[in-house]
Amino acid sequence: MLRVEKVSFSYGGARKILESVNLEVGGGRLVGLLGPNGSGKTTLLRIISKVLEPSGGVVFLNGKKVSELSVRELARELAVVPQETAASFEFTALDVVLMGRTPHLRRFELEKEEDLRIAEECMRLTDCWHLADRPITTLSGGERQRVFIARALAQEPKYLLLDEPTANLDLRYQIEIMEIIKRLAVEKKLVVIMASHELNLVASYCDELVLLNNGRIIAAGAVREVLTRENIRRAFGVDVLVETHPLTGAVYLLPVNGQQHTALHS
Amino acid sequence: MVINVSASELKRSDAAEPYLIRLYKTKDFFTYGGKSVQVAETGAHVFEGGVRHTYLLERVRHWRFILLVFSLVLFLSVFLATAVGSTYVGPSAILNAFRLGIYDLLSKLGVELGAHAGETAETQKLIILDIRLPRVILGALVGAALAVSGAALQGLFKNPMADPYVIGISSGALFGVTLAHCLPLLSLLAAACAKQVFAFLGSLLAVFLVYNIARTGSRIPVDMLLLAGIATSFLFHAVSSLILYLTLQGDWHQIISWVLGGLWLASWGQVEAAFLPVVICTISLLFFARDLNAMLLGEESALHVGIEVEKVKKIILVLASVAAASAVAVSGTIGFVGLMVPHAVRLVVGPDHRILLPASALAGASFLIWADALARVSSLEIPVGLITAISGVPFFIYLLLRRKRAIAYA
Repeated sequence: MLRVEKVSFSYGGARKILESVNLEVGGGRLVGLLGPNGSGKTTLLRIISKVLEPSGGVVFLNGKKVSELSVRELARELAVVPQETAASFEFTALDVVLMGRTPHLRRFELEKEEDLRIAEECMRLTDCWHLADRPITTLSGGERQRVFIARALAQEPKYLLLDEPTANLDLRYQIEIMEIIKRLAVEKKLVVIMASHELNLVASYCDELVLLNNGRIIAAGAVREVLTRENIRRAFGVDVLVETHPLTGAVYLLPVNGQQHTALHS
Repeated sequence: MVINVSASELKRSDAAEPYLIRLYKTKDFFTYGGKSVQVAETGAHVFEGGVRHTYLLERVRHWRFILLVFSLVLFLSVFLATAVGSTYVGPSAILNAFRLGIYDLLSKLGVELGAHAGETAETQKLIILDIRLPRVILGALVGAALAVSGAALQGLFKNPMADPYVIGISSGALFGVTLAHCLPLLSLLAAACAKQVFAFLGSLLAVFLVYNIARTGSRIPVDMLLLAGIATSFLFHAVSSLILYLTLQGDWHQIISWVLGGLWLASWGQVEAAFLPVVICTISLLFFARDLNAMLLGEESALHVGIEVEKVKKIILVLASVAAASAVAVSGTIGFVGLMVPHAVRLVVGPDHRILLPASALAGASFLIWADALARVSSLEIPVGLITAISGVPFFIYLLLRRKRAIAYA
């Protein structure tokens, strides 16, 4: 279980990036973290993963304070799929996934068969095992994203954080990645938190949503409770219709006259 | 039965999941469905459970093979390069000299093997064992130190242009050595604690400057790194030259040799001074090979797989500086070895630092031995730094052009 307690953050100035954020997520749940640009989504993920230290508040993993875990201990519990997966080196996809085994290996220890087996399993789960011997530089965005998800899984974490995993992907890859993430949460009983701008995508896959605005949580809970016309207007300043998908029953949003509004005002 | 299967056929077949193996030799055999199959192309996907684990095994074998070949080349280089010099000494005389040397060692241990050498043999022994061999070995140490330092820095800065010379570590070390060498007050101190210490302090000063000038937020952009490195390099080179000029009363030959780098001062004492720091730094850097790999994927990303990036970064910087500084303390600033060697080696062995670092050290040693041999064949005694610079600068420009193309197409 992941618990975020009264977490605040600022870069020293008066402006608070996050203000007294509380969050509690249990195993097997896929949680979407929503909010406009600059609302603090990425900052929250970076605090949970100990890249940033909060100026106030505590993050607990399974009752243990994150700040008291070593980086290595944390890496065995929690994995992160970064927003941008830079790749200007010629490692193969398998090499990259094997790097996910780092927190489980001693300094001079070489990867063993067990590590290869885990890497293979993770790459099969994310459907990229067939890319194993391709240099990471030659992969497309969607393929690379899957490799990096596999790397995160190879850490055998109980918590998985993803920062806009579907950004820059076309529709097919977006759905593919979401299917994978959803399956992982259920099958591996992971706590998954993903920051995203794709409201409709998130609405049809996530179990719970958290909506951030100006560093505060303005709504949290079931999809239908969070994605309301009022909440969206408050957070994004956009008027939407909240509809139900005729086939899947999921919530989806339709912007109302968004184009005309901006056209009139500019 | 043997069937030739091309890579595309193997991939197309949906009889089984493709098992990955990177093959390092062509025409490997393996069994598939009871048949013996021959792989016609390297890099093919291979089926069949029996071969699945060979990825890790093959990799280790491949690494071992590389290290063996590189070590062999180095060993041969040490031996052959002792034949190069202004006086001709034939191969049999070289062997004889080594034999006599071993006898000498044994007699020190109390084992007397009679065989008294003639006067010519004694002279040749002197040339080979006391003049050429220490120089060759010193060259190997300097080359190894610069190359391994360059390989680590390139990984650390995620930048193929990094090198102890380019980013100012070498000239910082030169500054330290010059101070210790030329200022009377400091040379008293220097007598107490080796020149290496001054070289090291100088290099750390340079690294500190470059690092802080180049750092933009938490990143170190390529252009900033190069510019800060060049500026620092110029500064320390100029100041060192000035001090040398004033204290050596305009002995241009010596000044230029120092600044350009050369091994003409080689002696067994120098070898002893350089040996430990170079070997210790090289081995310690190997300790961080996996961390360097992970950091190539980005520092935050390395943190996520459990690496204490900030701490590791500092340790690697210090180790790379000590390695380069101990090289500079005995040879002056020899440039571009740390740039070229890791690059060439990476083309052969791939980007994994676990093999890249040791292979670079071995290759750098061999490379500098031959560069120095070239410097010696002419009786002019060219500083070896000139030879590495003449070969290194075109290489540097080539890298810049490639980078330019990459940016243009991006």
